Amino acid sequence: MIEFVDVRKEYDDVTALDEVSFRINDGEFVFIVGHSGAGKTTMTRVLLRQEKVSSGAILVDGVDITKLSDRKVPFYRRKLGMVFQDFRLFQDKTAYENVAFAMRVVGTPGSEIRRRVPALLHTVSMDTKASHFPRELSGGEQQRIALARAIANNPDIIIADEPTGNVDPQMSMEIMNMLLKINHLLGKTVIVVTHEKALVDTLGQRVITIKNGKVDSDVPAVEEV
Amino acid sequence: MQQTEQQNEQTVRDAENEKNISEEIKQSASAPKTRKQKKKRRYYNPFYFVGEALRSAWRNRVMSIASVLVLASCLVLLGAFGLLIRNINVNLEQLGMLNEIVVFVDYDADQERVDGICAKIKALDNVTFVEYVSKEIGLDTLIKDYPEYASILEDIKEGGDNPLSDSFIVTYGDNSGVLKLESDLHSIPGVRKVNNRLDYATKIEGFKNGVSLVFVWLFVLLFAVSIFVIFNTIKLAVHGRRAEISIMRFIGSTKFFIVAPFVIEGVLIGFVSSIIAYIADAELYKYVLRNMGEELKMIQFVPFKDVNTILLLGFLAIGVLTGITASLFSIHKNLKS
Repeated sequence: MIEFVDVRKEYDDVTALDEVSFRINDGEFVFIVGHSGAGKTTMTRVLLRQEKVSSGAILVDGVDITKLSDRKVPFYRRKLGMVFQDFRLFQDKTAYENVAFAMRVVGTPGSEIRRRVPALLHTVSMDTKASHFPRELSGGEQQRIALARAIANNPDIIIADEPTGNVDPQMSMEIMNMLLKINHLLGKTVIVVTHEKALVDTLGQRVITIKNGKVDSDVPAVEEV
Repeated sequence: MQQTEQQNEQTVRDAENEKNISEEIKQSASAPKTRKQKKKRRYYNPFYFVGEALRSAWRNRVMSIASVLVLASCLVLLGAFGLLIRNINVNLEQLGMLNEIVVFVDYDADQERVDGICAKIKALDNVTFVEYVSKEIGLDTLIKDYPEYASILEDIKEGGDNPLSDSFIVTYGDNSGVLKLESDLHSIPGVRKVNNRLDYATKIEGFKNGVSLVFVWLFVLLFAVSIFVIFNTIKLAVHGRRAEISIMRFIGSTKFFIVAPFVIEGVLIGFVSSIIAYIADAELYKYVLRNMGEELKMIQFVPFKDVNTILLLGFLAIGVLTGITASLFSIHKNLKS
């Protein structure tokens, strides 16, 4: 579970987050939307512990991550799987190596890496492109590799920051569908930060709207008929 | 019609996606994490870090080579000074152990006078042994020790114009009484000159102290220069990989995982520099022994086999320590930003 409790983040004379409070339960799929400068990216950064909050608390599985020491932050981040708008793949590593690297970083034995990586690539339909470098892949394909990397270490939470920003509309839908499948079939909590209203409206999931650093609305998911 | 076709394609893709989530991934996602799984798993392959260090060094090969050459040059100079001081120390020890004073008599002293001087020397306190060296024996010794001048010295010998004087090698027992003994010898009539080897030792000691001072300053200066060059090499390496480092941080790399390859890169630079410096100093020293050992007979050179181990270990210690120090310093300064 993720809980923001009166989170405030100030930069000099700008208040990026203003007493933000909400809760995301395990296994939920949540969109966080808002116009540019609303505070979406700041919210992602404080959740990732890239930055510290000015006040308030952020509880992840009962642990207040705002009080974590710098030494423990890498271990916290392993609970998260991040997907970025600019993919952030290693350009000098193949698709296979990019996914494997995420597992190597946490000390996974080589035998397990060799076993899981093909399965992960198959999950995102990229098993035929395992030996390709990012420069040889389209935007959508790179994002799928990034998705495979995000779930490589079996994290509890997937955070996708504008995952469809650099892909075409058809691939955007595919990426979203993959995230939905990961949420439904693997039970991961998925948080998607986006400004694409059409995409949000189509999928009928819970939507938290951020406006001027505050939670403007929190619309629950449309129940399936 | 077109919309129906698109919807059908989407349905097919959805079905494919669902199939693609393999049983393995589903099982690992749904299985509760055991206590063992929750514990931090650490299995860092050391070869990975060495491989990354080598890749980084190759990527910045110009700076890496520059660092190696600068550090190797510093070590060669330090090694040369170190060997010089070692040889001086050995010769000082030899001088100190001799416990001998050489007494030269007047050039025109006849045999009767020489015998009288000998008796007086033997009667002095602290004298344990007196050896008489006639001027003829002295000249023969010179001919033997300096064969390159043998022809000239033989001519002098045959001409009967020996420029040397008779002398005595006086062995004493107690170093603390050497100054009094020297004074007593000076006061014996007919004694022209007294050579106290302790005087030589004192002068050489002073020279050695001067060399040591230069050695220390040189060490500090060259150490600082080497650290500066390696610092910048690692700085370039960190800067060149800043995007990678950022990604590594996001996916949960610990500081150790990020930093280790750079430290190993510093160690590699230090290690390679040490080996180069050792080979250079070894060849230089052997060259000196081969070509100057015969000419400088009065100086005793330390055999290379007696210094090669300490030379190698010293270079390795200084080289690797310099590499680690510079790397850690550079990482600390540049990784934060």
